[in-house]
Amino acid sequence: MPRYPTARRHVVALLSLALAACGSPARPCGTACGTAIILIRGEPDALMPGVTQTTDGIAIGDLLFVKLADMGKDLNTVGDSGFEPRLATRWHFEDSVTIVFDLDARARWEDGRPVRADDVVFSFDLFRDSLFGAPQRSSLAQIASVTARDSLTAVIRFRAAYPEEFYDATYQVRILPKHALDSIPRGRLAQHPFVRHPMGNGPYRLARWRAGEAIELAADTGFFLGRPGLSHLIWRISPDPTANAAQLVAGEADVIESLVDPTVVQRVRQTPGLAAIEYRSPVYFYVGFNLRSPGTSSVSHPLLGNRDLRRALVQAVDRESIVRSALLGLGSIPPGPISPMEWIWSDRDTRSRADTAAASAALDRLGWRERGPDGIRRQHGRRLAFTLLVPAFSRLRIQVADLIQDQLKRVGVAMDVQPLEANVWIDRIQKGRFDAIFGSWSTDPTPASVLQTWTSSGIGGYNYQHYSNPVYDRLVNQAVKTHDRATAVALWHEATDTINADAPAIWVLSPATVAGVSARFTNVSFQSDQWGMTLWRWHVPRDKMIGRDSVGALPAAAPPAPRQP
Amino acid sequence: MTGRYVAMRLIQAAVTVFLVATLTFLAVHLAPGDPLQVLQDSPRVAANDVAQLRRLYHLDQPVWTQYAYYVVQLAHLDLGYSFGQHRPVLDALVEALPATVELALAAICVMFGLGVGIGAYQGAHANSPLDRMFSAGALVLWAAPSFWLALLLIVVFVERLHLLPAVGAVDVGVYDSLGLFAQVLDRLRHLVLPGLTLGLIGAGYLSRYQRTAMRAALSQPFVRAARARGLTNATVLLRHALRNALLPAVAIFGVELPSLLSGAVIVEPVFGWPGMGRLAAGAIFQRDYPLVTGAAILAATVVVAGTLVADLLAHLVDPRLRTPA
Repeated sequence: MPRYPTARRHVVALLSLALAACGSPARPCGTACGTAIILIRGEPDALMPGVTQTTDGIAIGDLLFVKLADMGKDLNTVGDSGFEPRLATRWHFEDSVTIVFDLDARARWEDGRPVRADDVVFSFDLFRDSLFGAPQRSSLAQIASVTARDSLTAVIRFRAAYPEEFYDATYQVRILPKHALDSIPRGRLAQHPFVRHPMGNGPYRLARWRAGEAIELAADTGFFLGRPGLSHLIWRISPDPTANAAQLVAGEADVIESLVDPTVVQRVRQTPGLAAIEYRSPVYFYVGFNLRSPGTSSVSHPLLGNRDLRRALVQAVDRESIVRSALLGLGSIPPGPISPMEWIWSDRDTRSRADTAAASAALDRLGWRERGPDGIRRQHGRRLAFTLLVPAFSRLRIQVADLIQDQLKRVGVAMDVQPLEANVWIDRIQKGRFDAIFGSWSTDPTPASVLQTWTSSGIGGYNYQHYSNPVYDRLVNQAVKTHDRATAVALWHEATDTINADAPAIWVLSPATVAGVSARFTNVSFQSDQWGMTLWRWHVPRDKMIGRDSVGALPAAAPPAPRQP
Repeated sequence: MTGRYVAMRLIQAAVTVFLVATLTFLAVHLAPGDPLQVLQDSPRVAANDVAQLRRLYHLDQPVWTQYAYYVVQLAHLDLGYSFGQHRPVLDALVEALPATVELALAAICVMFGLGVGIGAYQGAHANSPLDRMFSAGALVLWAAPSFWLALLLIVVFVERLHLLPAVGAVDVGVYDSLGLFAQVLDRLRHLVLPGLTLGLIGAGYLSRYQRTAMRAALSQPFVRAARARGLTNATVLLRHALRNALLPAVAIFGVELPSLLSGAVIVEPVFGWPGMGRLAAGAIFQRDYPLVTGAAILAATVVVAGTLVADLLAHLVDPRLRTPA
């Protein structure tokens, strides 16, 4: 006879109840259905525009707050060509320095109050306030004033006319609710609960932030530009890329915005029910040479200060084979300090082919003829050697650095690869204590980003290599001020040829941005500059819905309690 | 006398926690970088604006000045404000602590359930083929890096078998629409893989201790006496030998808390587990000084409190530890 018959019966009953509960149908979602689970590797710091510094914080913020206008698919930054109305229904240039925006009268904040021109004035004032400390502040320096002509008309006036006025007026600032934020001291705003639980005017509202786990958005069915296609968006925080790939393949998640590993891209392509969608990358990777002796700003680098030697190094590196082997072909070779997202990107051949014979001949001419027992060139007993700093967090860069090291060794150049922890890496490059760095820039859509990174005005800031050529500076400054796109493109190409001739860097590669997405979604598209912006147009057809698509409406988050930080 | 002992131990505990806070504060401040350095690596942000923020948060001050600010803050029982979370450190920690406790409890169950069970079996069947197999397995588990074991379990149970969820504490897509029992089951399903990962490694080495203890117990005279009394083999093993062989496992229990907390720093990020380990790991990379120091203080407090309670219980239970009045 069993010893514990009653207890066993209880356990069986309990399990049966649990299983029955497990199978209980979800609450019906009515006509608003569809859930997308999006995997992100880090938790956003905040969701409020102007405060959040994280890519995912910005992506989620883009669904909570609407801009005056959005860039079109061609990501043009000159004039207003291609821009699409959002909070502004229309606009016009009153004169060369004044843009007038007519706001959509239907736009509402989450609390039901209308979005008005005063909110636009407040938002620009906030973003330009040094006490608030928005990262976009320096991009708004050309704006002289923002005023409300009436409750639905905002006027932005610039100090001087330039081609990217409209871009600066619309790209940098999200419109925030004046009535909710005006009473909070600017210096304390970044510490207010609003930054994590904002009240927006976008297609979605924050339903819940499960700290460390997930951020859940619920559709605003009354959104003034139309009902969002998916009722719920869930950003699940999952730091490990292997675990993320497993979740996507197993159907536990629906979207990974960027599949970093090319082998994962292949797995996604081979998995039924998943789609790999490629879109233009905002990133380029480069090996930057320090033109100054490490740690100094005036003494030329004893080795890499020589332009002909740098050109020989560029010639020795076979970037096409690197893209093939490290990215399995999923990438491109930048023609200069340009990302594929920028409208000046071109696929024209810019010395991307390696020529080891020419590189060897050039090094011979420079006096590096003698070779040591290790095969490395020498001159007066000195080895032709330098060190490349690589951030240890980037597996791709470490892998590519090894390939470059091997290619340079074939022409008799020793390149030591030194991986560094992220903060040590930034510290070293900011102090100029390096020979060469394996850097990357994630650019804005405007090509003017090079002003900070590669012109003389960026020295002491983000031009870590101390590259300076007055001809390049002049061409970039001309291109930035040119209104005609065709003329501007020609100037940008001339500037690119100039910097390439000086070879301050090897423009190594630009990995393709490939998203992994569940094939049950329709109307899927990605925008390179702000990928999350198009999510509200995604949709799930009824015949393709799965369990989580039918879950009822999520409870809306309680508005933040007024409290002093 | 006991009151004086308790008071002394409390003072020692407070000093220990304060030392941990000081050492963590110094270590994280002496490491390269600061919370705003990432901002400074973005061409979108003007260098002047970063400098202004640095002044605002006293990050431009010498480390000792910053330490003085921090001590004053601590004296007001304020752990400070997290740069990376944009909220008070205490709020972030209080929210993350229950998940870590939940994971630690699951790991302890795995560790002691498997470790004691398998070790006892091995001790009772020493040098059998199964004993050798378990010994080899325990050695592999003991030596295995936790992140490797975690990924292995994910590949097998999530990607290949589609049996268990990989990430998070609940199924965020449907959790709110489930009934109470289904919610409990959902939490348990999510707990399996991280709990196994954290617990299996401990089980690996605990089983080795348990095997040795069991063998030692079986050679004791009281076991021979029990057998001589005609008791069944199961009774001898479970009631007499195992009960005595459990003492090393109980001793290990007290030592395990710190290693579980440190193990959580590795395991939680892999499984996206919303606990203190993941929070601390992220804060270290972001140089979120207040959050790193706050997490260290909380972890030290938990460990010190656990040790204190264990010591006090031992003091009460074992008369030999008491000082004569």
